[in-house]
Amino acid sequence: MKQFQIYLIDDDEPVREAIKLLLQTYGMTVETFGDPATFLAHVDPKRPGCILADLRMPLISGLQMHERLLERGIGWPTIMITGHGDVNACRRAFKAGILDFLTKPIDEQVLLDAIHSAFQTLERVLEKVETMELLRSLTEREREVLDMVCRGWATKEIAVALNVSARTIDAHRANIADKLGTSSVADFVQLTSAGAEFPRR
Amino acid sequence: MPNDPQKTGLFSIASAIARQRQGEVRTYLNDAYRGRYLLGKRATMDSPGLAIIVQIDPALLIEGEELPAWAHVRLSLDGDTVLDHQATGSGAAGSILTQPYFSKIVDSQSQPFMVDVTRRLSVADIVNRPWIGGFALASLLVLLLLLFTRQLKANARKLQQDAREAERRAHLQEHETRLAHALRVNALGELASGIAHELTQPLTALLSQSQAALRLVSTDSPDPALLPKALSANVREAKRAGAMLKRMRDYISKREQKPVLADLNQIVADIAELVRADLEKRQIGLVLDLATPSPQAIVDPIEMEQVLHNLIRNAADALQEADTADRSIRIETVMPESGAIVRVTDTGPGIGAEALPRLFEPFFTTKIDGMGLGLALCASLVERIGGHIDVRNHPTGGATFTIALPPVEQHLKAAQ
Ligand SMILES: Nc1ncnc2c1ncn2[C@@H]1O[C@H](COP(=O)(O)OP(=O)(O)O)[C@@H](O)[C@H]1O
Ligand SMILES: [Mg+2]
Repeated sequence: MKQFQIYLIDDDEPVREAIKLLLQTYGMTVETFGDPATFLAHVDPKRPGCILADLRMPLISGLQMHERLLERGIGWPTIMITGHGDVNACRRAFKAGILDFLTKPIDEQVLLDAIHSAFQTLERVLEKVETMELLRSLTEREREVLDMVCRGWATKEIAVALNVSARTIDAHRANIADKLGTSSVADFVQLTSAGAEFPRR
Repeated sequence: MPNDPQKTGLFSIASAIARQRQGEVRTYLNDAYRGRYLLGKRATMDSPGLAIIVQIDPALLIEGEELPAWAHVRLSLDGDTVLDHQATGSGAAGSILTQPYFSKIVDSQSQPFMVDVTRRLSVADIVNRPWIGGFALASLLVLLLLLFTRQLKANARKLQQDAREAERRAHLQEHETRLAHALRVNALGELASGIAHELTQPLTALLSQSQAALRLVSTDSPDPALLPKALSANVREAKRAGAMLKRMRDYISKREQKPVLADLNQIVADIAELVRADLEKRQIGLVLDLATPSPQAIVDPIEMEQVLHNLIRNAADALQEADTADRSIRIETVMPESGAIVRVTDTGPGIGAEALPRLFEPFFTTKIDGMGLGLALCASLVERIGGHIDVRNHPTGGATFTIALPPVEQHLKAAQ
């Protein structure tokens, strides 16, 4: 499985250091932050990772931090940890799109499972982001042609529908294949549906 | 003793109290308690099954040497006589002292008594064997609790300093210490979930660190620096949990009140540790602004913590309602030219003009589930060690409570 950076945000220093040490013995890279504000100030959208954050911290709570990251287009998988088996907070967290919710003290295996599933989620998220970027590189006309191709239309039919020559459509298709790195209609279908499924930029 | 008439009487009063409004204090008379009256109040929302019943012996209200033999005192409630103290002699009759007749409804909603006396009543003291009857409460012990008013104590102080008076004051102090203890136990309950959270932190560190250490020893060539680091961190965390438990145990320990020379900064830090998690949960900030070197005073550290705790709780309650962006409590220690000062300031709505003069009265509360004992006890505990507590509204909103403590030397001199 692909490994990513782990961002650990907890206001309790000994807790931070202990969890960091444990994850390091599994060869993971952990970056720690003492409060959400510092993390928000330092987070680099180009260095995606999975977030492990205490739910209840002074000033900015774990959930508020999650929302601010989303506002900035950072939708990395987030695991909340908490000292309370607070059912309501748990429900709110899941509604807000939190991946998992762990209670302190955290069992090693539970933590590892949660992180692995976060890594998998992150991998999928990043693929989708890539797809979105590819699709965004198409011109509006190319996007129109691609949609028709995906619906199974032949070049001639598309040419008639768009009132241009078949040669023009062929040129568009060549450009599309170039940009998306494939000329297979099956790949086209998969890419567009994946892109549509992933709403955020 | 189910057929004990006092118990039966108590249960009938208890069921009447259960129908009382939250926060209301009412007076009860019962045949089983002849010559006494009882004040009843429902306890907090958190423990709705708990009632506070204070038994008062009105005879003690008029006890004292300066009640002349000719005085005839009658105390009645809705026409029912609670106390009828006959004149024991007629010596003063016909003397040049004219007998002023005094008849008044005692101005109190909770105790609407009619007092008739042939002479102005000037002393007062309510001492008795009081108790709180708890009923239908799952696991809490029945609390024993004495209540007496500050005003009455102030009056008592004015009395002649004879041996009997000293004894009586010692008696009062003992009851007050018991009351303080009962209220501390009660208050710690509010902090339980916060303290559990605080204990979870060292446990979390201990668990993860130990699991990491186990993995380190099972690897072939572990980093030699890591293992000792993990183990000493574990020792630190275990001590941290131990210190937390000790702080909590000390706070509710039942012990004699004992003023000692203490660092006020340490007292502030200790109570701050106890309340921190609870305030965090309520999204209230706590700021400590401590003078260096730490101001010192002769206080009982636990009772001083309790005074601060009461002020912090009130501040937090005031902030709970307030919808200001900045919800915080600030505790300062200050070293003035003489003595020491601790100040607790909040960013809440402050105190209304009608409430301000009554704040330290026992039973005065504006809270639906309030007991109105917090500040009365604070004042009592602070005054007992020669200090003074004061309140004013802050110019920028919010209330400031100031505790002024006498200089250490003064206390030492007085003790000599
Ligand atoms: N920091 C504060 N801000 C506003 N009002 C306060 C504050 N502290 C105390 N009070 C008022 O004083 C009253 C009495 O306080 P207290 O004696 O502690 O009893 P209780 O807290 O049970 O009401 C409170 O009900 C409240 O109206
Ligand atoms: Mg109070």
